[in-house]
Amino acid sequence: MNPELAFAPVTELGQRLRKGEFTSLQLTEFFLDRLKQFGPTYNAVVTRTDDLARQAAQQADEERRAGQDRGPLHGIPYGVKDLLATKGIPTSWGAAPLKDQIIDSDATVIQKLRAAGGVLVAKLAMVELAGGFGYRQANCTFTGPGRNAWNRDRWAGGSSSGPGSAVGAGLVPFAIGSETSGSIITPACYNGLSGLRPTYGRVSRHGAMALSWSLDKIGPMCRTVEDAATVFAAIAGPDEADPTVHGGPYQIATVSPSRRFRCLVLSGAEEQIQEAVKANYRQSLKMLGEMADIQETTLPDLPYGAVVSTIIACEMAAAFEELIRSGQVWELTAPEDRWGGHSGLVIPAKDYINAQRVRTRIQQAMNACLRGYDAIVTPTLTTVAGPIDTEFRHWPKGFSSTPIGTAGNAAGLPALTLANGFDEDGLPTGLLLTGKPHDEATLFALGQRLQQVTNWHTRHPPVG
Amino acid sequence: MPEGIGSGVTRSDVTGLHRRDFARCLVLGSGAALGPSGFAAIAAPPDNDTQDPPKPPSYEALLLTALVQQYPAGELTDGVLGHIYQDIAFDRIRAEQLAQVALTNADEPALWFQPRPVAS
Repeated sequence: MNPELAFAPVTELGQRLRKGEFTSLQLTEFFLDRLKQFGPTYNAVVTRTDDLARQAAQQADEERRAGQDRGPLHGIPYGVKDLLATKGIPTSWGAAPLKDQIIDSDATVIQKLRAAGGVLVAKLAMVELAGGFGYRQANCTFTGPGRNAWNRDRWAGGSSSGPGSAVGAGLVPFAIGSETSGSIITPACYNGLSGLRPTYGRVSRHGAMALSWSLDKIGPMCRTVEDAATVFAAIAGPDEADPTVHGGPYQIATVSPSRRFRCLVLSGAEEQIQEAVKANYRQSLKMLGEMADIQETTLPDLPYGAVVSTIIACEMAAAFEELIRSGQVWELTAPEDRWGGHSGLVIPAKDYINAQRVRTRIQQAMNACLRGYDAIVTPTLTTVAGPIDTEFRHWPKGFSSTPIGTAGNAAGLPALTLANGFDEDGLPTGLLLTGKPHDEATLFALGQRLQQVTNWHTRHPPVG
Repeated sequence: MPEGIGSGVTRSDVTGLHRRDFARCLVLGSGAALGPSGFAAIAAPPDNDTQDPPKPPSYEALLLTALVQQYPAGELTDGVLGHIYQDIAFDRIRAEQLAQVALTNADEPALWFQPRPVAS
């Protein structure tokens, strides 16, 4: 098979499957080979699911021959962050003491993708316990530091590091990640992907490791915005097993091609960011101006970081108390993760409640800010991926969440990142579109419009 | 990304540990805990009027004591306890940041709870 297939969008692979250019089994073998050959060089893979994948691919081929079409993902291989439970396959949560953990059921997202005809080929690497314990370096999981698809000496980002580098390096056509505060958006940006953090409560988290019940989200990490919309449509929607999911099944909305969007940009968005990030952001705003009216605003003055980190610390302490009590926590990879969860065990309850009360204010303020607008447009992150062997605090401009990132997570807002250029060393930068709750469709429409007039999403690293 | 970090204040920014508190924490970690007799000693009146009354342990030291008592582990070395002490101090600063937002009695938390219908 043509090696360039490794970087073809899901939509194209689906069309070519339907035309009979190749079978799902052939496509699956192609990606299994790539995972086997290149996965270890990125520390991207925890477990390949060869036998189950072949079975699923053969079933997809038989169904297709029988005239049954499950839709755009039918017969398409994919990978998942290793925090989603898969029956009969270890689910490690990226943590050394849990590397042989078997959860005897499939996460709802896995079930939905199976129903859509997807072919699971790998459980992908992640920062141990989704990063809640305060890791300060890339070497924070038993599979080794996640290496960037564009430069293996740079970090893949976290905590969905494996999904980021595996999609970026063409080891899987798409992947599923999770985000509590930054864990989809960061690796998607660092690896040049189109990644969606859905509205909180849009995608069932049943069967996903809980880091913070009131903040965790599951979302797609893909090559193109169109792919992200396709995968999102397959995994979103109600689930009796997750009472936080609200709204009915997601329908891909059509937005008029001539529609003019209304966007906000943040004053100060260009401060304290890398020159290449700034230059690419300005270029993106020029293109955006062709399709959108742009107004400048400021984020409401609220303690976003304090709210999000307090909530995570307290919910995580409850979720992982037994890991600490049992002593398994001392087997984690990053030394700082071994003690980083302890203080959360003694945070006063009123601090947690007050964080949730301020969160209500944030939700109200962000909704008011977005009223009448389609999206807030910012650089995704302030820098490109930093060196893999250097603590984050020693990176030239450090490494931390952006205010819009923490505000968006606190308020449960959807956000879409897409590649918007590269720095002088060939590392991707990203553009972030943060939208209104439940309005992923508008983000997809805007993102697709931008990808119609750019080709950043079609570029890929020279792998294989 | 370190989940939840991004408030502008990071744990490593928390400096200026009170040496006496820290030393006390280390004592607690090594087993000479503030049991009932320890608290009694701290609360005891001074021997003479000229002596300053003993100060109670700091907020951070008390929470660290509770932590060590509830989750004892051989890995809680002096160095590790120092890190956790810093984290507790950071958590306190973060709570003070939250307290800067003036909340009224009507400000409800964003908690979610909904009784589920019983299947017939």
